[in-house]
Amino acid sequence: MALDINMNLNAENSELNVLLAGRLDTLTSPELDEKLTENIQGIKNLIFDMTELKYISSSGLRVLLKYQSEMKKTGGMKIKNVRKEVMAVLKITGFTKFLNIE
Amino acid sequence: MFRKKLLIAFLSVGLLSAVLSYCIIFFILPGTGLNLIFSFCAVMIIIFILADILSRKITRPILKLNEDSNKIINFELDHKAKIYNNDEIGELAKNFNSMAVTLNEYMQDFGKSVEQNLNVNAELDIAAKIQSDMLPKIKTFPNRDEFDINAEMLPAKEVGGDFYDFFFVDADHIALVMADVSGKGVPAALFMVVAKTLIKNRAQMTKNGEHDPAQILHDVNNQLCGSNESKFFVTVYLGIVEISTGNVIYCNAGHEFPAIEHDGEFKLIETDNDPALGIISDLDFTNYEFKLNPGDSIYLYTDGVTEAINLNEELFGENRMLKALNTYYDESAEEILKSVEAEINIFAKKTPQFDDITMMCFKYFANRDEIEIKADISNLDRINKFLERKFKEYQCSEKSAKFINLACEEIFKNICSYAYPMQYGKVKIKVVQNNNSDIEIKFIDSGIKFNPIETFKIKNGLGLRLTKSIVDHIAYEHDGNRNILTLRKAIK
Repeated sequence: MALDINMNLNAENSELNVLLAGRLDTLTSPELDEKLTENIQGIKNLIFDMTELKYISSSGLRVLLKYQSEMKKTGGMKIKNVRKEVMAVLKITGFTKFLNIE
Repeated sequence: MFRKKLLIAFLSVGLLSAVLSYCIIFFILPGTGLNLIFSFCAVMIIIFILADILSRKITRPILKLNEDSNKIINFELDHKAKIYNNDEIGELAKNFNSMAVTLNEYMQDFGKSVEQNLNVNAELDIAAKIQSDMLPKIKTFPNRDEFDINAEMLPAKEVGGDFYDFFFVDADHIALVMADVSGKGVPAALFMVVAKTLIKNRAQMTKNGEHDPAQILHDVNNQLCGSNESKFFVTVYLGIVEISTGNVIYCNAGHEFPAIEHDGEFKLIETDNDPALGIISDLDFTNYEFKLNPGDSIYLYTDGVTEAINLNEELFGENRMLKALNTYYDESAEEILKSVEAEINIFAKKTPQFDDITMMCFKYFANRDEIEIKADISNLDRINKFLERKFKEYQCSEKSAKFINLACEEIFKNICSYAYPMQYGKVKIKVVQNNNSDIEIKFIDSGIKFNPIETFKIKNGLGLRLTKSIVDHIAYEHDGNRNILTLRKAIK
Protein backbone atom coordinates (compact mmCIF):
# COMPACT_ATOMS: atom_id res chain seq x y z
CA MET A 1 0.00 0.00 0.00
CA ALA A 2 1.28 3.46 -0.75
CA LEU A 3 0.22 4.62 2.70
CA ASP A 4 -0.17 2.56 5.86
CA ILE A 5 -2.11 4.10 8.70
CA ASN A 6 -1.98 2.56 12.17
CA MET A 7 -4.16 4.13 14.84
CA ASN A 8 -3.91 3.48 18.57
CA LEU A 9 -6.45 4.92 20.91
CA ASN A 10 -5.51 5.56 24.52
CA ALA A 11 -8.94 6.13 26.02
CA GLU A 12 -7.67 7.12 29.47
CA ASN A 13 -5.81 10.23 28.33
CA SER A 14 -8.06 10.75 25.26
CA GLU A 15 -4.99 10.30 23.13
CA LEU A 16 -4.89 9.09 19.54
CA ASN A 17 -1.57 7.85 18.20
CA VAL A 18 -1.29 7.71 14.43
CA LEU A 19 1.61 5.77 12.91
CA LEU A 20 2.16 6.65 9.25
CA ALA A 21 4.23 4.63 6.78
CA GLY A 22 4.90 5.24 3.11
CA ARG A 23 3.75 8.25 1.12
CA LEU A 24 1.28 10.96 2.05
CA ASP A 25 0.44 12.39 -1.39
CA THR A 26 -2.57 13.54 -3.40
CA LEU A 27 -3.89 10.02 -3.76
CA THR A 28 -3.36 8.79 -0.20
CA SER A 29 -4.19 11.94 1.81
CA PRO A 30 -7.97 11.57 1.49
CA GLU A 31 -7.78 8.22 3.21
CA LEU A 32 -5.92 9.71 6.16
CA ASP A 33 -8.40 12.56 6.36
CA GLU A 34 -11.31 10.11 6.38
CA LYS A 35 -9.78 7.88 9.04
CA LEU A 36 -8.98 10.86 11.26
CA THR A 37 -12.51 12.23 10.94
CA GLU A 38 -13.91 8.84 11.96
CA ASN A 39 -11.73 8.54 15.03
CA ILE A 40 -11.27 12.09 16.26
CA GLN A 41 -14.37 12.34 18.47
CA GLY A 42 -13.46 13.34 22.01
CA ILE A 43 -9.72 13.18 21.43
CA LYS A 44 -7.64 15.74 23.32
CA ASN A 45 -4.21 14.73 22.05
CA LEU A 46 -3.45 13.79 18.45
CA ILE A 47 0.05 12.41 17.90
CA PHE A 48 1.57 11.57 14.50
CA ASP A 49 4.54 9.24 14.45
CA MET A 50 6.33 9.74 11.12
CA THR A 51 9.19 7.26 11.58
CA GLU A 52 8.20 5.41 8.44
CA LEU A 53 6.82 8.30 6.43
CA LYS A 54 9.07 8.79 3.43
CA TYR A 55 7.26 11.42 1.41
CA ILE A 56 4.82 14.23 1.88
CA SER A 57 3.30 16.60 -0.67
CA SER A 58 1.04 19.65 -0.37
CA SER A 59 -2.07 17.45 -0.02
CA GLY A 60 -0.54 15.84 3.04
CA LEU A 61 0.37 19.24 4.43
CA ARG A 62 -3.24 20.33 4.07
CA VAL A 63 -4.44 17.39 6.13
CA LEU A 64 -1.93 18.27 8.87
CA LEU A 65 -3.06 21.88 8.72
CA LYS A 66 -6.71 20.92 9.01
CA TYR A 67 -6.22 18.84 12.14
CA GLN A 68 -3.79 21.27 13.68
CA SER A 69 -6.53 23.93 13.53
CA GLU A 70 -9.18 21.57 14.86
CA MET A 71 -7.10 20.11 17.67
CA LYS A 72 -6.07 23.60 18.77
CA LYS A 73 -9.67 24.16 19.91
CA THR A 74 -10.05 20.99 21.97
CA GLY A 75 -6.52 19.99 22.93
CA GLY A 76 -3.31 19.64 20.99
CA MET A 77 -1.47 17.96 18.12
CA LYS A 78 2.08 16.70 18.06
CA ILE A 79 4.36 15.27 15.37
CA LYS A 80 7.38 13.14 16.17
CA ASN A 81 10.18 11.21 14.45
CA VAL A 82 10.14 13.23 11.26
CA ARG A 83 12.52 12.08 8.53
CA LYS A 84 15.01 14.36 6.83
CA GLU A 85 13.16 14.79 3.52
CA VAL A 86 9.80 15.33 5.19
CA MET A 87 11.38 17.85 7.58
CA ALA A 88 12.83 19.72 4.62
CA VAL A 89 9.34 20.06 3.16
CA LEU A 90 7.96 21.27 6.49
CA LYS A 91 10.74 23.85 6.73
CA ILE A 92 10.37 25.14 3.17
CA THR A 93 6.67 25.67 3.63
CA GLY A 94 7.06 27.27 7.02
CA PHE A 95 4.98 24.57 8.67
CA THR A 96 7.65 24.16 11.32
CA LYS A 97 6.61 27.54 12.65
CA PHE A 98 3.19 26.42 13.83
CA LEU A 99 3.34 22.63 14.06
CA ASN A 100 4.42 21.04 17.31
CA ILE A 101 7.35 18.90 16.19
CA GLU A 102 9.45 16.75 18.47
CA MET B 1 -78.11 -33.17 7.14
CA PHE B 2 -78.66 -33.84 3.49
CA ARG B 3 -79.91 -37.27 4.38
CA LYS B 4 -82.31 -35.87 6.97
CA LYS B 5 -83.85 -33.62 4.38
CA LEU B 6 -84.27 -36.53 2.04
CA LEU B 7 -85.73 -38.61 4.86
CA ILE B 8 -88.28 -35.96 5.70
CA ALA B 9 -89.10 -35.61 2.01
CA PHE B 10 -89.70 -39.37 1.64
CA LEU B 11 -91.65 -39.54 4.85
CA SER B 12 -93.81 -36.62 3.86
CA VAL B 13 -94.58 -38.15 0.47
CA GLY B 14 -95.16 -41.56 2.01
CA LEU B 15 -97.35 -40.25 4.81
CA LEU B 16 -99.33 -38.04 2.55
CA SER B 17 -100.00 -40.88 0.14
CA ALA B 18 -100.91 -43.18 2.99
CA VAL B 19 -103.29 -40.71 4.59
CA LEU B 20 -104.84 -39.93 1.25
CA SER B 21 -105.26 -43.59 0.43
CA TYR B 22 -106.81 -44.34 3.84
CA CYS B 23 -109.20 -41.46 3.57
CA ILE B 24 -110.38 -42.78 0.22
CA ILE B 25 -110.75 -46.33 1.58
CA PHE B 26 -112.52 -45.07 4.75
CA PHE B 27 -115.04 -43.08 2.75
CA ILE B 28 -115.61 -45.68 0.03
CA LEU B 29 -115.49 -48.91 2.07
CA PRO B 30 -117.54 -48.66 5.31
CA GLY B 31 -117.10 -50.90 8.31
CA THR B 32 -113.36 -51.12 8.14
CA GLY B 33 -112.81 -49.27 11.51
CA LEU B 34 -110.16 -50.92 13.73
CA ASN B 35 -108.64 -53.00 10.94
CA LEU B 36 -108.04 -49.77 9.13
CA ILE B 37 -106.12 -48.29 12.06
CA PHE B 38 -103.94 -51.38 12.43
CA SER B 39 -103.15 -51.58 8.73
CA PHE B 40 -102.49 -47.83 8.70
CA CYS B 41 -99.92 -48.26 11.46
CA ALA B 42 -98.32 -51.14 9.61
CA VAL B 43 -98.12 -49.12 6.44
CA MET B 44 -96.59 -46.21 8.40
CA ILE B 45 -93.86 -48.44 9.77
CA ILE B 46 -93.09 -49.80 6.30
CA ILE B 47 -92.98 -46.27 4.93
CA PHE B 48 -90.54 -45.19 7.66
CA ILE B 49 -88.25 -48.12 7.01
CA LEU B 50 -88.33 -47.68 3.25
CA ALA B 51 -87.73 -43.94 3.55
CA ASP B 52 -84.77 -44.55 5.84
CA ILE B 53 -83.18 -47.17 3.61
CA LEU B 54 -83.73 -45.18 0.43
CA SER B 55 -82.37 -41.98 1.88
CA ARG B 56 -79.31 -43.75 3.15
CA LYS B 57 -78.65 -45.45 -0.16
CA ILE B 58 -79.03 -42.30 -2.19
CA THR B 59 -76.95 -40.11 0.04
CA ARG B 60 -74.15 -42.55 0.76
CA PRO B 61 -72.13 -41.77 -2.39
CA ILE B 62 -72.49 -38.06 -1.79
CA LEU B 63 -71.48 -38.22 1.84
CA LYS B 64 -68.51 -40.42 1.01
CA LEU B 65 -67.49 -38.04 -1.75
CA ASN B 66 -67.64 -35.22 0.75
CA GLU B 67 -65.30 -37.15 3.03
CA ASP B 68 -62.97 -37.93 0.15
CA SER B 69 -62.85 -34.36 -1.00
CA ASN B 70 -61.89 -33.29 2.51
CA LYS B 71 -58.96 -35.70 2.36
CA ILE B 72 -57.86 -34.23 -0.95
CA ILE B 73 -58.09 -30.70 0.38
CA ASN B 74 -55.75 -31.82 3.13
CA PHE B 75 -53.29 -32.88 0.41
CA GLU B 76 -53.74 -36.60 0.82
CA LEU B 77 -53.52 -36.66 -2.94
CA ASP B 78 -53.07 -40.39 -3.30
CA HIS B 79 -56.43 -41.03 -1.72
CA LYS B 80 -58.99 -42.13 -4.27
CA ALA B 81 -62.69 -41.31 -4.02
CA LYS B 82 -64.90 -44.42 -4.25
CA ILE B 83 -67.12 -44.55 -7.29
CA TYR B 84 -70.46 -46.14 -6.45
CA ASN B 85 -72.34 -46.04 -9.72
CA ASN B 86 -72.39 -44.39 -13.11
CA ASP B 87 -74.74 -41.51 -12.39
CA GLU B 88 -73.84 -37.86 -11.97
CA ILE B 89 -72.50 -38.45 -8.46
CA GLY B 90 -70.28 -41.14 -9.88
CA GLU B 91 -69.09 -38.68 -12.55
CA LEU B 92 -68.37 -36.15 -9.84
CA ALA B 93 -66.32 -38.69 -7.94
CA LYS B 94 -64.37 -39.55 -11.11
CA ASN B 95 -63.69 -35.86 -11.70
CA PHE B 96 -62.44 -35.44 -8.18
CA ASN B 97 -60.06 -38.29 -8.70
CA SER B 98 -58.62 -36.94 -11.91
CA MET B 99 -58.29 -33.48 -10.33
CA ALA B 100 -56.37 -35.03 -7.47
CA VAL B 101 -54.07 -36.83 -9.90
CA THR B 102 -53.43 -33.67 -11.90
CA LEU B 103 -52.76 -31.64 -8.78
CA ASN B 104 -50.39 -34.28 -7.52
CA GLU B 105 -48.43 -34.37 -10.78
CA TYR B 106 -48.28 -30.59 -10.98
CA MET B 107 -46.97 -30.27 -7.46
CA GLN B 108 -44.28 -32.84 -8.05
CA ASP B 109 -43.16 -31.17 -11.29
CA PHE B 110 -43.13 -27.78 -9.62
CA GLY B 111 -41.08 -29.08 -6.74
CA LYS B 112 -38.60 -30.64 -9.14
CA SER B 113 -38.21 -27.52 -11.26
CA VAL B 114 -37.72 -25.30 -8.21
CA GLU B 115 -35.02 -27.65 -7.02
CA GLN B 116 -33.44 -27.73 -10.45
CA ASN B 117 -33.51 -23.97 -10.78
CA LEU B 118 -31.87 -23.51 -7.44
CA ASN B 119 -29.22 -26.02 -8.38
CA VAL B 120 -28.61 -24.50 -11.77
CA ASN B 121 -28.44 -20.98 -10.43
CA ALA B 122 -26.18 -22.07 -7.64
CA GLU B 123 -24.00 -23.85 -10.12
CA LEU B 124 -23.86 -20.85 -12.46
CA ASP B 125 -22.96 -18.59 -9.56
CA ILE B 126 -20.23 -20.92 -8.36
CA ALA B 127 -18.77 -21.28 -11.82
CA ALA B 128 -18.79 -17.51 -12.36
CA LYS B 129 -17.16 -16.92 -9.01
CA ILE B 130 -14.43 -19.50 -9.60
CA GLN B 131 -13.68 -17.89 -12.92
CA SER B 132 -13.55 -14.29 -11.74
CA ASP B 133 -11.56 -15.10 -8.60
CA MET B 134 -8.85 -16.72 -10.67
CA LEU B 135 -8.14 -13.84 -13.02
CA PRO B 136 -5.31 -11.44 -12.17
CA LYS B 137 -6.46 -7.99 -11.16
CA ILE B 138 -5.07 -5.25 -13.36
CA LYS B 139 -4.71 -2.66 -10.62
CA THR B 140 -2.43 -4.75 -8.47
CA PHE B 141 -0.14 -5.62 -11.33
CA PRO B 142 3.30 -4.09 -10.97
CA ASN B 143 2.90 -0.96 -13.01
CA ARG B 144 6.10 -0.91 -14.95
CA ASP B 145 5.86 1.88 -17.43
CA GLU B 146 7.65 0.05 -20.23
CA PHE B 147 4.30 -1.39 -21.22
CA ASP B 148 0.59 -0.87 -20.74
CA ILE B 149 -1.46 -3.98 -20.22
CA ASN B 150 -5.16 -4.50 -19.73
CA ALA B 151 -7.49 -7.47 -19.97
CA GLU B 152 -11.18 -8.06 -19.71
CA MET B 153 -13.45 -11.07 -19.34
CA LEU B 154 -17.18 -10.67 -19.89
CA PRO B 155 -18.76 -13.98 -18.88
CA ALA B 156 -21.76 -15.42 -20.66
CA LYS B 157 -24.70 -16.40 -18.49
CA GLU B 158 -23.46 -19.96 -18.55
CA VAL B 159 -19.80 -19.32 -18.02
CA GLY B 160 -17.61 -20.92 -20.62
CA GLY B 161 -14.26 -21.28 -18.93
CA ASP B 162 -12.34 -18.59 -20.86
CA PHE B 163 -9.34 -17.24 -19.03
CA TYR B 164 -6.38 -14.93 -19.42
CA ASP B 165 -3.24 -14.57 -17.37
CA PHE B 166 -0.15 -12.41 -17.29
CA PHE B 167 2.78 -12.65 -14.95
CA PHE B 168 6.48 -12.04 -14.75
CA VAL B 169 8.64 -15.01 -15.52
CA ASP B 170 11.70 -13.05 -14.44
CA ALA B 171 12.57 -9.37 -14.13
CA ASP B 172 12.88 -8.88 -17.87
CA HIS B 173 10.24 -11.28 -19.17
CA ILE B 174 6.48 -11.17 -18.96
CA ALA B 175 4.22 -14.03 -20.04
CA LEU B 176 0.88 -13.41 -21.71
CA VAL B 177 -1.74 -16.16 -21.74
CA MET B 178 -5.11 -16.31 -23.48
CA ALA B 179 -7.14 -19.53 -23.29
CA ASP B 180 -10.52 -21.09 -23.89
CA VAL B 181 -11.75 -24.27 -22.17
CA SER B 182 -14.26 -26.47 -23.95
CA GLY B 183 -17.57 -26.95 -22.17
CA LYS B 184 -19.52 -24.83 -19.72
CA GLY B 185 -20.49 -24.52 -16.09
CA VAL B 186 -18.66 -25.69 -12.99
CA PRO B 187 -16.77 -28.61 -14.59
CA ALA B 188 -15.31 -26.26 -17.21
CA ALA B 189 -14.50 -23.67 -14.55
CA LEU B 190 -12.63 -26.27 -12.50
CA PHE B 191 -10.68 -27.45 -15.50
CA MET B 192 -9.84 -23.82 -16.23
CA VAL B 193 -8.40 -23.44 -12.72
CA VAL B 194 -6.21 -26.49 -13.21
CA ALA B 195 -5.00 -25.44 -16.66
CA LYS B 196 -4.22 -21.89 -15.59
CA THR B 197 -2.28 -23.06 -12.55
CA LEU B 198 -0.27 -25.62 -14.48
CA ILE B 199 0.69 -23.10 -17.16
CA LYS B 200 1.80 -20.47 -14.70
CA ASN B 201 3.74 -22.91 -12.54
CA ARG B 202 5.52 -24.48 -15.46
CA ALA B 203 6.26 -21.12 -17.10
CA GLN B 204 7.82 -19.77 -13.92
CA MET B 205 10.08 -22.80 -13.60
CA THR B 206 12.45 -21.52 -16.28
CA LYS B 207 15.87 -23.05 -16.21
CA ASN B 208 18.93 -20.99 -17.01
CA GLY B 209 16.96 -18.08 -18.33
CA GLU B 210 15.54 -20.04 -21.23
CA HIS B 211 12.03 -19.16 -22.30
CA ASP B 212 10.40 -21.85 -24.36
CA PRO B 213 6.60 -21.63 -24.70
CA ALA B 214 6.53 -24.77 -26.83
CA GLN B 215 8.21 -26.78 -24.10
CA ILE B 216 5.94 -25.27 -21.45
CA LEU B 217 2.81 -26.21 -23.36
CA HIS B 218 4.24 -29.64 -24.15
CA ASP B 219 4.70 -30.36 -20.44
CA VAL B 220 1.34 -28.89 -19.42
CA ASN B 221 -0.39 -30.87 -22.15
CA ASN B 222 1.01 -34.13 -20.77
CA GLN B 223 -0.11 -33.23 -17.28
CA LEU B 224 -3.62 -32.34 -18.47
CA CYS B 225 -3.96 -35.50 -20.54
CA GLY B 226 -2.80 -37.56 -17.59
CA SER B 227 -5.73 -36.63 -15.40
CA ASN B 228 -8.37 -35.70 -17.93
CA GLU B 229 -11.29 -37.87 -16.87
CA SER B 230 -13.92 -35.56 -18.29
CA LYS B 231 -12.08 -35.21 -21.57
CA PHE B 232 -11.96 -31.44 -21.59
CA PHE B 233 -9.51 -29.59 -23.78
CA VAL B 234 -8.23 -26.03 -23.76
CA THR B 235 -6.93 -23.81 -26.55
CA VAL B 236 -3.99 -21.69 -25.39
CA TYR B 237 -1.92 -18.81 -26.72
CA LEU B 238 1.25 -18.35 -24.68
CA GLY B 239 3.65 -15.52 -25.47
CA ILE B 240 6.75 -14.38 -23.57
CA VAL B 241 7.91 -10.80 -24.08
CA GLU B 242 11.47 -9.69 -23.37
CA ILE B 243 10.89 -6.23 -22.03
CA SER B 244 14.31 -4.77 -22.64
CA THR B 245 14.34 -5.68 -26.35
CA GLY B 246 10.72 -6.20 -27.42
CA ASN B 247 11.47 -9.73 -28.65
CA VAL B 248 8.50 -12.04 -28.37
CA ILE B 249 8.50 -15.81 -28.50
CA TYR B 250 5.15 -17.57 -28.58
CA CYS B 251 3.28 -20.79 -29.14
CA ASN B 252 -0.30 -21.19 -30.31
CA ALA B 253 -2.15 -24.35 -29.26
CA GLY B 254 -5.30 -24.26 -31.30
CA HIS B 255 -6.20 -20.72 -30.28
CA GLU B 256 -7.31 -17.69 -32.26
CA PHE B 257 -4.57 -15.84 -34.18
CA PRO B 258 -3.25 -12.81 -32.30
CA ALA B 259 -3.56 -9.33 -33.78
CA ILE B 260 -0.29 -7.39 -33.77
CA GLU B 261 -0.02 -3.67 -34.36
CA HIS B 262 3.00 -2.34 -36.25
CA ASP B 263 3.20 1.26 -37.37
CA GLY B 264 -0.36 2.05 -36.53
CA GLU B 265 -2.04 -0.97 -38.10
CA PHE B 266 -3.35 -4.14 -36.49
CA LYS B 267 -3.00 -7.34 -38.53
CA LEU B 268 -3.65 -11.00 -37.74
CA ILE B 269 -0.56 -13.18 -37.54
CA GLU B 270 -1.58 -16.50 -39.02
CA THR B 271 0.46 -19.58 -38.28
CA ASP B 272 0.06 -23.33 -38.48
CA ASN B 273 -1.46 -23.89 -35.09
CA ASP B 274 -0.62 -26.78 -32.84
CA PRO B 275 -3.54 -28.73 -31.37
CA ALA B 276 -5.29 -27.62 -28.19
CA LEU B 277 -4.10 -29.03 -24.88
CA GLY B 278 -5.78 -32.04 -23.33
CA ILE B 279 -6.56 -33.90 -26.55
CA ILE B 280 -3.64 -36.27 -26.75
CA SER B 281 -0.37 -36.56 -24.89
CA ASP B 282 3.23 -36.46 -26.08
CA LEU B 283 2.70 -33.75 -28.66
CA ASP B 284 5.43 -31.48 -29.92
CA PHE B 285 4.65 -27.79 -30.11
CA THR B 286 6.29 -25.05 -32.17
CA ASN B 287 7.72 -21.66 -31.15
CA TYR B 288 7.35 -18.57 -33.29
CA GLU B 289 9.15 -15.26 -32.86
CA PHE B 290 8.68 -11.64 -33.74
CA LYS B 291 9.84 -8.27 -32.48
CA LEU B 292 7.85 -5.43 -31.00
CA ASN B 293 9.00 -1.90 -31.69
CA PRO B 294 8.25 0.83 -29.14
CA GLY B 295 4.63 1.76 -29.72
CA ASP B 296 3.60 -1.68 -31.07
CA SER B 297 0.80 -3.68 -29.49
CA ILE B 298 -0.42 -7.25 -29.10
CA TYR B 299 -4.15 -7.98 -28.96
CA LEU B 300 -5.29 -11.42 -27.75
CA TYR B 301 -8.87 -12.67 -27.62
CA THR B 302 -11.12 -15.72 -27.56
CA ASP B 303 -13.74 -16.79 -30.06
CA GLY B 304 -16.38 -15.10 -27.94
CA VAL B 305 -15.29 -11.91 -29.72
CA THR B 306 -15.26 -13.10 -33.32
CA GLU B 307 -18.26 -15.37 -32.91
CA ALA B 308 -20.53 -12.86 -31.20
CA ILE B 309 -23.81 -12.93 -33.10
CA ASN B 310 -26.53 -10.45 -33.83
CA LEU B 311 -30.26 -10.96 -34.44
CA ASN B 312 -29.64 -11.99 -38.05
CA GLU B 313 -27.25 -14.67 -36.83
CA GLU B 314 -24.31 -12.90 -38.46
CA LEU B 315 -20.93 -13.21 -36.76
CA PHE B 316 -18.95 -10.20 -35.53
CA GLY B 317 -15.96 -11.72 -37.28
CA GLU B 318 -12.26 -10.88 -37.59
CA ASN B 319 -12.76 -8.01 -40.04
CA ARG B 320 -15.00 -6.05 -37.72
CA MET B 321 -12.64 -6.75 -34.86
CA LEU B 322 -9.63 -5.49 -36.83
CA LYS B 323 -11.59 -2.45 -37.95
CA ALA B 324 -12.39 -1.57 -34.33
CA LEU B 325 -8.78 -2.13 -33.30
CA ASN B 326 -7.47 0.03 -36.10
CA THR B 327 -9.84 2.84 -35.24
CA TYR B 328 -8.66 3.07 -31.67
CA TYR B 329 -5.09 1.75 -31.92
CA ASP B 330 -3.66 4.96 -30.51
CA GLU B 331 -5.57 4.82 -27.23
CA SER B 332 -4.45 3.15 -24.01
CA ALA B 333 -4.81 -0.61 -23.65
CA GLU B 334 -7.87 -0.13 -21.50
CA GLU B 335 -9.51 2.23 -24.00
CA ILE B 336 -8.83 -0.14 -26.88
CA LEU B 337 -10.56 -3.01 -25.06
CA LYS B 338 -13.51 -0.84 -24.10
CA SER B 339 -13.86 0.33 -27.70
CA VAL B 340 -13.90 -3.21 -29.07
CA GLU B 341 -16.42 -4.17 -26.40
CA ALA B 342 -18.59 -1.21 -27.42
CA GLU B 343 -18.43 -2.24 -31.08
CA ILE B 344 -19.51 -5.77 -30.17
CA ASN B 345 -22.43 -4.40 -28.18
CA ILE B 346 -23.53 -2.17 -31.04
CA PHE B 347 -23.30 -5.11 -33.41
CA ALA B 348 -25.06 -7.65 -31.21
CA LYS B 349 -27.72 -5.23 -29.99
CA LYS B 350 -29.87 -7.16 -27.53
CA THR B 351 -28.88 -10.66 -28.65
CA PRO B 352 -27.98 -12.69 -25.56
CA GLN B 353 -24.31 -13.48 -25.16
CA PHE B 354 -23.79 -17.21 -25.34
CA ASP B 355 -20.03 -17.39 -24.92
CA ASP B 356 -17.47 -15.62 -22.73
CA ILE B 357 -15.91 -12.57 -24.37
CA THR B 358 -12.29 -12.33 -23.30
CA MET B 359 -9.56 -10.04 -24.55
CA MET B 360 -6.20 -8.61 -23.64
CA CYS B 361 -4.17 -5.74 -25.00
CA PHE B 362 -0.46 -5.32 -24.41
CA LYS B 363 1.13 -2.05 -25.56
CA TYR B 364 4.89 -1.96 -25.64
CA PHE B 365 6.82 1.23 -24.97
CA ALA B 366 10.31 0.04 -24.06
CA ASN B 367 12.54 2.28 -22.02
CA ARG B 368 11.04 5.58 -22.79
CA ASP B 369 11.88 9.11 -21.98
CA GLU B 370 8.37 10.36 -22.08
CA ILE B 371 4.97 9.26 -20.94
CA GLU B 372 1.70 10.55 -22.30
CA ILE B 373 -1.36 10.00 -20.19
CA LYS B 374 -4.79 11.31 -19.40
CA ALA B 375 -4.68 14.37 -17.15
CA ASP B 376 -6.47 12.54 -14.39
CA ILE B 377 -5.07 12.60 -10.86
CA SER B 378 -5.57 8.84 -10.56
CA ASN B 379 -2.63 8.49 -12.97
CA LEU B 380 -0.27 9.87 -10.34
CA ASP B 381 1.01 6.42 -9.46
CA ARG B 382 1.96 5.68 -13.04
CA ILE B 383 3.89 8.93 -13.23
CA ASN B 384 5.67 8.06 -9.99
CA LYS B 385 6.73 4.70 -11.44
CA PHE B 386 7.95 6.34 -14.62
CA LEU B 387 9.97 8.93 -12.70
CA GLU B 388 11.35 6.23 -10.40
CA ARG B 389 12.73 4.40 -13.40
CA LYS B 390 14.27 7.55 -14.82
CA PHE B 391 15.85 8.47 -11.49
CA LYS B 392 17.43 5.05 -11.35
CA GLU B 393 18.63 5.37 -14.92
CA TYR B 394 20.21 8.76 -14.29
CA GLN B 395 21.39 7.79 -10.84
CA CYS B 396 19.75 10.63 -8.97
CA SER B 397 20.41 10.91 -5.27
CA GLU B 398 17.56 9.81 -3.05
CA LYS B 399 17.02 13.31 -1.75
CA SER B 400 16.98 14.82 -5.21
CA ALA B 401 14.61 12.14 -6.47
CA LYS B 402 12.14 12.82 -3.67
CA PHE B 403 12.11 16.53 -4.32
CA ILE B 404 11.74 16.19 -8.07
CA ASN B 405 8.92 13.73 -7.50
CA LEU B 406 7.26 16.25 -5.22
CA ALA B 407 7.54 19.08 -7.74
CA CYS B 408 6.13 16.84 -10.47
CA GLU B 409 3.21 15.82 -8.31
CA GLU B 410 2.30 19.44 -7.63
CA ILE B 411 2.56 20.44 -11.29
CA PHE B 412 0.64 17.39 -12.48
CA LYS B 413 -2.07 18.00 -9.90
CA ASN B 414 -2.46 21.53 -11.16
CA ILE B 415 -2.67 20.49 -14.79
CA CYS B 416 -5.33 17.91 -13.90
CA SER B 417 -7.34 20.58 -12.13
CA TYR B 418 -7.15 23.36 -14.69
CA ALA B 419 -5.99 22.38 -18.16
CA TYR B 420 -9.11 20.59 -19.39
CA PRO B 421 -12.24 21.99 -17.79
CA MET B 422 -14.66 20.51 -20.32
CA GLN B 423 -13.40 17.21 -21.63
CA TYR B 424 -10.57 14.89 -20.81
CA GLY B 425 -7.16 15.63 -22.25
CA LYS B 426 -3.64 14.31 -22.18
CA VAL B 427 -0.40 15.55 -20.76
CA LYS B 428 3.03 14.52 -21.90
CA ILE B 429 5.89 14.35 -19.44
CA LYS B 430 9.37 14.24 -20.91
CA VAL B 431 12.50 13.57 -18.92
CA VAL B 432 15.97 14.16 -20.26
CA GLN B 433 19.38 14.41 -18.78
CA ASN B 434 20.52 17.93 -19.50
CA ASN B 435 24.17 17.51 -18.89
CA ASN B 436 25.82 15.28 -16.35
CA SER B 437 24.51 17.14 -13.37
CA ASP B 438 20.98 18.20 -14.23
CA ILE B 439 17.72 16.50 -14.99
CA GLU B 440 15.14 18.36 -17.03
CA ILE B 441 11.42 17.62 -17.00
CA LYS B 442 8.90 19.10 -19.40
CA PHE B 443 5.14 19.06 -18.91
CA ILE B 444 3.31 19.52 -22.18
CA ASP B 445 -0.45 19.75 -22.49
CA SER B 446 -2.81 21.10 -25.11
CA GLY B 447 -5.42 22.37 -22.73
CA ILE B 448 -6.58 25.92 -22.19
CA LYS B 449 -3.80 28.43 -22.10
CA PHE B 450 -2.77 28.74 -18.50
CA ASN B 451 0.39 29.12 -16.51
CA PRO B 452 0.57 26.63 -13.65
CA ILE B 453 2.93 28.90 -11.81
CA GLU B 454 0.39 31.71 -11.92
CA THR B 455 -2.49 29.45 -11.01
CA PHE B 456 -0.72 28.34 -7.87
CA LYS B 457 -1.14 31.83 -6.57
CA ILE B 458 -4.90 31.60 -6.91
CA LYS B 459 -5.08 28.61 -4.63
CA ASN B 460 -3.23 28.92 -1.40
CA GLY B 461 0.26 28.79 -2.82
CA LEU B 462 1.39 25.85 -0.79
CA GLY B 463 2.22 23.69 -3.75
CA LEU B 464 3.87 26.60 -5.55
CA ARG B 465 6.07 27.48 -2.65
CA LEU B 466 7.18 23.90 -2.38
CA THR B 467 7.83 23.51 -6.09
CA LYS B 468 9.68 26.75 -6.50
CA SER B 469 11.87 26.11 -3.51
CA ILE B 470 12.66 22.61 -4.54
CA VAL B 471 13.71 23.06 -8.16
CA ASP B 472 16.68 24.92 -9.50
CA HIS B 473 14.81 26.31 -12.47
CA ILE B 474 11.19 26.62 -13.50
CA ALA B 475 9.85 28.24 -16.65
CA TYR B 476 6.60 28.42 -18.56
CA GLU B 477 5.96 29.07 -22.23
CA HIS B 478 3.12 28.69 -24.69
CA ASP B 479 3.96 27.70 -28.26
CA GLY B 480 0.64 28.69 -29.81
CA ASN B 481 -1.02 25.36 -29.16
CA ARG B 482 0.40 23.96 -26.01
CA ASN B 483 1.40 24.84 -22.47
CA ILE B 484 5.00 23.87 -21.79
CA LEU B 485 6.36 23.90 -18.28
CA THR B 486 10.02 23.12 -17.74
CA LEU B 487 11.70 22.12 -14.50
CA ARG B 488 15.34 21.56 -13.87
CA LYS B 489 17.08 20.14 -10.88
CA ALA B 490 20.50 18.87 -10.00
CA ILE B 491 20.79 15.15 -9.80
CA LYS B 492 22.82 15.10 -6.60
